[in-house]
Amino acid sequence: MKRIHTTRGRKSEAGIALLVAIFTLLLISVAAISLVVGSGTESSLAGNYRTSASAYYAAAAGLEEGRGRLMSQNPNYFNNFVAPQGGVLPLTQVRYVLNGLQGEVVAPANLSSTTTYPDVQYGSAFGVPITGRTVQTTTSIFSGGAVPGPAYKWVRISAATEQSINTDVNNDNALDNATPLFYDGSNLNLTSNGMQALEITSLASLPDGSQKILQYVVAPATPITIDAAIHTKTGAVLGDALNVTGYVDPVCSRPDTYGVKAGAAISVPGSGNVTGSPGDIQPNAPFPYNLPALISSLQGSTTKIDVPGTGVTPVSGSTPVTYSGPHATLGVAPTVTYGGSGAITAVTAPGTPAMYISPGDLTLGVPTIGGAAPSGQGVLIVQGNLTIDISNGFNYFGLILVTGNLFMTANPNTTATSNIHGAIIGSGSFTSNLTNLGGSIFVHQNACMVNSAFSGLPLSILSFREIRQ
Amino acid sequence: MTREHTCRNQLGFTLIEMMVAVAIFVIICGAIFGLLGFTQKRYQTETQVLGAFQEARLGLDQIVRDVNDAGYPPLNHFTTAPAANLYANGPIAPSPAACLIGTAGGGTCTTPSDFDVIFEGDVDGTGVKWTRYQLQGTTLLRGVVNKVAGGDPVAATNAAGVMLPYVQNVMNNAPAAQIAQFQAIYPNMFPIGPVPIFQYSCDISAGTALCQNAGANNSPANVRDVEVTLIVMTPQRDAETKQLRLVELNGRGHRINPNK
Repeated sequence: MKRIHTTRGRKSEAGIALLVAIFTLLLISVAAISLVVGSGTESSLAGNYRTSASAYYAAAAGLEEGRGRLMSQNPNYFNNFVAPQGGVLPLTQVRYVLNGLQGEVVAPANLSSTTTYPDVQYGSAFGVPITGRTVQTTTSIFSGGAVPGPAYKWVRISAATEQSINTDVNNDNALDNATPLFYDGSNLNLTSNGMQALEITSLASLPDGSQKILQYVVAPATPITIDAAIHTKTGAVLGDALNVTGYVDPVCSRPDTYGVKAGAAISVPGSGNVTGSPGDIQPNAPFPYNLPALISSLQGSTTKIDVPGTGVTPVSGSTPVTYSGPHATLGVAPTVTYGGSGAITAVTAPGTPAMYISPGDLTLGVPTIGGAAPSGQGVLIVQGNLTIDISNGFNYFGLILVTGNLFMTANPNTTATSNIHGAIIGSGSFTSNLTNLGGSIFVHQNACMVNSAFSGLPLSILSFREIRQ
Repeated sequence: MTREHTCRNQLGFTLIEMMVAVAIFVIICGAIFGLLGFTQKRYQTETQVLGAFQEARLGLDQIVRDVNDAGYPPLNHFTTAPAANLYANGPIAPSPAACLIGTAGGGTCTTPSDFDVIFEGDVDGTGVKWTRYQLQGTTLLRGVVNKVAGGDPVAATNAAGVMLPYVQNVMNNAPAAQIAQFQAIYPNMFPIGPVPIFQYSCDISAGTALCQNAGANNSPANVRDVEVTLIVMTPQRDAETKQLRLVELNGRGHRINPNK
């Protein structure tokens, strides 16, 4: 009886080992899970930091792509995508560089979709939703590559306004939202002084949803304010073959200027034709340019004028060395259409601006009729006197800087027409006392051409900020 | 027959068998608990190290971001200069106004210095601020005040309630005796004594150089990079080795905004 009872008892304890094992396993599992959860928390904290930093640097990469491609020497130069050559990007125009992954749709101007990276920041910055602007897009240099590039989704390039940068630039206690900002080399302004300041804004978004928006305000590093078609530090003599106008070419939306400004008297003999606004000429005008400083700042970007290909050579035996280029090519001139008054009405091919410097006096052109006209585009710096013989014509687009005097000469039998579109600035005088020429010389103020000449320079970062969302 | 079979199946273990089994069980349990105890101590220690690391990392990240964002809006954003509290004079607010940056007690700047710096800028669209980091003892303090036109940033941030504890147990400038202890354990972490939290590189014509070596370019206005080094100690010693545990983090802030 007792034995039977014992047998029954053992029978009832038969599963105890399993229970003990399961309980032990449970304890171990709880310990293991708590360890995993603990380490998981640490991992996510580390992950948050990592993604925040990643998004920051991805957005910074977008800013640099935008800034780099605004420079004409960049192989992926935006060129006319952002603005007409050297011109102004209107406030109503917005450009985007898109950088979606393969198959990913990035549509910043589509505010109705939350999955295509809508640009709501534009509306809050400018007071007008992006849908109210004219938008053009292009693709990033990383787009479509075998290896994914930085994780920025779009880069926006737009005009900057007081409101968009949240700064009262002109100190009038109001944030203007209708006037693009310009940069004169020292400060921003609302008066179209210098070159346009652009806003570059970059959105980075990582797969985990973390986002960053960074912003630059940029402008050409060495802007120059054009206040006349010809501006000399001393006097100017303008013969009757010369047509000078401060009215800007119709193709360029920049302000009109004086025709000629000079630090002394301005003589317009014969039927010389000088026009401009607010006046045709302004004698005894202050000379606002610091040419040595300007030339020094450009020195690193310029090429000595007698390099092969320009057609300019040192004149043998000259002391100090002078240079001559009978049929010089100083950069590739654009292909343009002229209106009735010699003004440019269209640019059909932009050409390639270049910066050349002549360390001594320079003579361009020859009095013998025949052969190609000297031509070029960009910036021509002459550290000495510049003599231009226009017997075969002379076509230059951009800025001519002369530390000495500038003379225009010609074979009286010439019938060629010369065109200078941009500006001439000289520390000496300007003399073009040509009369009874068969041809004509047109000097048109064109600040866009001057801007374009500087487009090979890196853009200065005027400011940087992270936009908190 | 059935009963005999049952009895044979119910024979117990011998005493020897039991003793051996119990001995093996005790040995295994001892090993397991020993390992568990060791693991527990390591876990406690590493949790503390991770906590210190995390705190230092968040502090470092904020400092680096403050450097990157400093200097907005620069004076070039104004056609005519507004009141001085509406723009950033430069990325770093010095005190006294014109001073030389030094290290290990050199230089004439109260700030920026090895353990004290004040950044200037509008980082969130609410106006230009002075953001100060200052090491007091072993606590790195952080304080933010609105920029005061013509004011001294040190005096402004010294006002009561501005500077608040930000990162604890920062050992960069610990007492000499404690640094000697650290040097015994971490000889590379304190090569010559206190370790500056902030080291400044200034723009020079050939790039950048440590400001104290930058000659005429040694000026808070020329600071381009701020190298940040944080050495943080865990609140308790290592549970296993009873040694002090330190964590060192390095970061570099790069000033982008111009200094004018």
